[in-house]
Amino acid sequence: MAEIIVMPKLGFNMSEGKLVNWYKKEGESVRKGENLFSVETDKTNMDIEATGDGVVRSLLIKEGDSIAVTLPIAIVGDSTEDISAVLAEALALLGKDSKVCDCEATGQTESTADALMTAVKSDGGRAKISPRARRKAGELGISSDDLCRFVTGTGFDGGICEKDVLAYAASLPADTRQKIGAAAAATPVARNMAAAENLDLDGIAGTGANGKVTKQDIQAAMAGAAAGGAARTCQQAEMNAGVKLSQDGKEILEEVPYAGVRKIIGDRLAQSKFTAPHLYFTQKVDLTNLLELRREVNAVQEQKTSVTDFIAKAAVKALQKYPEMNASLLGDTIVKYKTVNVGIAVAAPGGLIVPVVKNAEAKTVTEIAAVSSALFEKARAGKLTPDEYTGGTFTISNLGMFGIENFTAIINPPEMGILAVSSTKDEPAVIVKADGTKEIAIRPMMNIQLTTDHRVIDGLLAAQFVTEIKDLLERPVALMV
Amino acid sequence: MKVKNYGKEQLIGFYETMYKMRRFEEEVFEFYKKGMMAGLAHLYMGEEAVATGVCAALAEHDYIGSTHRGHGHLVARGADIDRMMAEILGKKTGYSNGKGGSMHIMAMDRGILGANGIVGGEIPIATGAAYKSLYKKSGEVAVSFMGDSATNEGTFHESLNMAAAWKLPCVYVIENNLYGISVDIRDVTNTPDLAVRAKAYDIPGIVVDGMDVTAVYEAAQKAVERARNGEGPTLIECKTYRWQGHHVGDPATYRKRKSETEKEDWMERCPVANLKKAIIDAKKATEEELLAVEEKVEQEIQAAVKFAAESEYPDAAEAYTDVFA
Amino acid sequence: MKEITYAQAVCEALDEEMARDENIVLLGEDVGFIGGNFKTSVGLLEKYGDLRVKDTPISEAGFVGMGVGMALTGLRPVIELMFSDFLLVAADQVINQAAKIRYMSGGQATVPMTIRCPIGAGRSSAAQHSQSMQAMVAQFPGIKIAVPSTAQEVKGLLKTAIRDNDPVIFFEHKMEYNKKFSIDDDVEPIPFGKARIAREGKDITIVATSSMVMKSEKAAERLAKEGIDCEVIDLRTIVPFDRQTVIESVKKTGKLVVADEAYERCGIGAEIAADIAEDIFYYLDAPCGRVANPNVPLPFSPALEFPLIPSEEKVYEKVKTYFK
Repeated sequence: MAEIIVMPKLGFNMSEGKLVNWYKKEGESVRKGENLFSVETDKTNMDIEATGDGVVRSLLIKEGDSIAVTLPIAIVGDSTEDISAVLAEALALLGKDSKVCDCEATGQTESTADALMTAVKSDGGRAKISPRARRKAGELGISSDDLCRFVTGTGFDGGICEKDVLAYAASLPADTRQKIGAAAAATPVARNMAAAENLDLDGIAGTGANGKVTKQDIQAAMAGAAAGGAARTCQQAEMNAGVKLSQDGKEILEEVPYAGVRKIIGDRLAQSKFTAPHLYFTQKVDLTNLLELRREVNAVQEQKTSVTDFIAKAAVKALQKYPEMNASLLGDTIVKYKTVNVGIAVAAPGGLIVPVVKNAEAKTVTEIAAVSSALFEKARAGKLTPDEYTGGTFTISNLGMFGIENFTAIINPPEMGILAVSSTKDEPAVIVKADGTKEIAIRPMMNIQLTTDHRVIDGLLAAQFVTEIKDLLERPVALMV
Repeated sequence: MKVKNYGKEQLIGFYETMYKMRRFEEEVFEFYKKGMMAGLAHLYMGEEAVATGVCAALAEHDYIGSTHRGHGHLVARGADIDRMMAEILGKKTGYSNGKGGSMHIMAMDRGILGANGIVGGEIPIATGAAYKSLYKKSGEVAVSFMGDSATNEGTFHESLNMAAAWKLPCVYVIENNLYGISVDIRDVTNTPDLAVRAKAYDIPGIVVDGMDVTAVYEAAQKAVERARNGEGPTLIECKTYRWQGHHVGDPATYRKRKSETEKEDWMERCPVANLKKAIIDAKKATEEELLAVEEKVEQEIQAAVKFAAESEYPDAAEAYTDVFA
Repeated sequence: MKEITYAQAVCEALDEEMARDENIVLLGEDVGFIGGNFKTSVGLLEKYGDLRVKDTPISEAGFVGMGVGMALTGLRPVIELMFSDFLLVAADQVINQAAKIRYMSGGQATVPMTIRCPIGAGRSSAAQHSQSMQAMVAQFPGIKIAVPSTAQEVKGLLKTAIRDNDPVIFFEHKMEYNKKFSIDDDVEPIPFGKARIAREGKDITIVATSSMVMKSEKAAERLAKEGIDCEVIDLRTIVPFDRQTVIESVKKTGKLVVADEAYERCGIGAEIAADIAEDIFYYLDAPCGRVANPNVPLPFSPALEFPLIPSEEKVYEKVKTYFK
């Protein structure tokens, strides 16, 4: 019996997925467990395996298409069975009468415009898009699917009208916009300035609301205009020499698009860094007791623990004591959580990723170790599901294994803090003995640095919090009870 | 038939016209039977004396309004029978390029304001032409032909009322052939003579033998003279009969309801044959002379038949022309 | 510029045309001695005599038919029907005769006749004296249909109607007759088939006829204050229809409302909406809308009649449905 394969929902907040790659073509057979396709979610690519044996009878979307979760993307069945009924059902769910894949071949934007998504803004199965809006979308190469998903109709009876399409087009990134020939979104002042200076709005990156080009953007573009002449000379040189040069004459080794996961991470960090005023607190921790305890623990049980697991446990305890740090600033509300979800940053093939140990407040060090080691393994394989790397309330970033002496980390929003853990090194330390006398001894010492969001967290609280972690790590028995 | 008061030329003229009408209609009948004519053919056979007598009283520039049974009126007014026949066959060489057909032949160059498919439709139109003559003092007289049944249309009353009130130069000619399709006028109208209605408008109402061209001519002549003198309209009722049913294909069984021999009785009074006989009897012309007329007419008729049959049909795109000026 | 009533504009057009062309003759009920039921031919009997300004008996089929005969024989009759409802009494002469003769004659004959008749509800004249018959007659090929708006338009379009070689039904609006309008001292004939942009706008197109033009302009003023920029097109003639002007406007605005006082069913709005949907479907940003008389006869009682009449308020409300 033919089966409809749907775009999987790979996380609670996932509303759509982009089909990155079909591993099978139409007509190819597939076995249960074999990779069928891969999906890009907002943070990672995931391979999706076939859940049964069969033949790929129909691919309903093409590589690069985005589609709402749970909607049909393929049909797998026996090689000979009649799939017309199943196909019709799938197409009905997609709200169209032909496969999107076929549209590409004819280059027909109008038939793309006819391929309506029923998932959003539908009225008895038909999306409410005015003929004029369809026409404009067709001209701009915007699919009706995208209109249905991303555009709220403000036209007649709540339908999508031309104005909505234009607003959507203007909200797209400049490069996309240029490709489709849509006008850039700009403030009226900016538009007038651009007209007066004969500047092309499309060439200017907008930093205003919804990517609108602002007065400041125009001024910046005008300031940079002087360098233009030199740049053109260099481009000429590049053409002559066959060597790729930057605008200011540097020889380029390689150009890598700032896109995908790298861009998502980068944009989030930039947003965090430039939104939340960061405040830093450093402590030096003596790990003598902790390393001894860890040895004992690892000696008696199968689940091995890492120093990071103990640090995580210490952070959990400190977060429970200072719930202000286990919080989010959401709009004009500070939400303090009882649940402690600790994210632990890890380097993965596509870039930095932070798997989250959920409900860590209820977990022992060993349990944290079990969960985190499993997550790390999946992260390194690029197989984390979105649920597994979202929802954290606090983050630990441990670069100890790379011999880093000290570093600062950027908060992972909307969290309130992140703990940067550096390497452990034997250092001379002043030991205060029980009788009050002091001596110098060689001790395994580690720097930890807390970054907090000063909008919510004041210095005193931050200092108390990071000192609490230090104390817990230096008297680690508390972590076991 | 008082042929003795007429000259030879005029009598031969009457005969030629009436014989032409008769032959024309016989050929239309033939076309119809052969399936070469579409639509309906309302034939004038039997009524030739009416149109001939009335139109003989008219001047070149006068106007007539005609009816669905209008072929005879057009022949009497000297319309081109080639173009008439072509129009009847729906050819592009017809008077209306095939757009009007048998019921709507117009010949503006002959003052023919149109055969009219609506019973009574032509009466106010002819009256309007008479109004123009009055206002412009241009001297034309307008004749409105109508069947007996048109006298029961509102336009009959409205037109005669206005024409009488304003003394319009108009002559209303009723061709009373007794039937409106199948309905006997005597069954739906209280007066045996329709001309008595003229009394209501205080105008002359004259009943004449519609099978006698001289009687019709004399009545029409007086009416036309009166009209031209500014004395107003006249209503002339011509008692006549159609040889065929309402149109080709109508078996006309209703004609035996009052008399088994009604048709035969009327056909004995054939206006064409009787005129010929009267002319010969009165020695106004010899039989040979009339045969020569017939021969001449026959040539014209055959030429018209040939012309119509050989003419092209209009291009379908022609349907989109002549809607507006 | 001067200020005259709409009825005076009709009078002036008739007077100026009659002075220009002696073939023009006026015919109708009460057009002579009293100068017309709505005072649209005042003074013309005295000036042109009773052969050219003719009071007729109440015989609509008769005197419209006479008009056809007059037109066929060289005159340019201007026939007044006291109410457009009476077109039905004369329907055969209008529809089967006047409209068809040119065609049936293969172009031999023309019928340069103008039939003037008032339309519109609002006088408690009930179901037989309040109708707007322009949609009904527009169905028939061979007649031109004028639906003038202001006094200026009435004067210019009536001159064109009289000079036109085809039969024209010229619909005047009875509720406008006594209203004063600014009008040029000299008004030239206004060509048929060329609509007038009464108000430019970019958000929605209102195609209006007759007094709906003025009502739509007032509605547009109110809507402008709310940020809705209406384009009001004065159609001037339904036949011929200036399809291009309407198309250009709707291409710009993407939205169309047709305001015409005839019945909604098979009405002018339905016709234009279908034309536009056929020609420029992919420019439509919303369904085409109509403001028209509901499909019920006009009642007598003002309490019943006024709520039915297409009004400024109805145009306003209709347009508002597009901008919720």
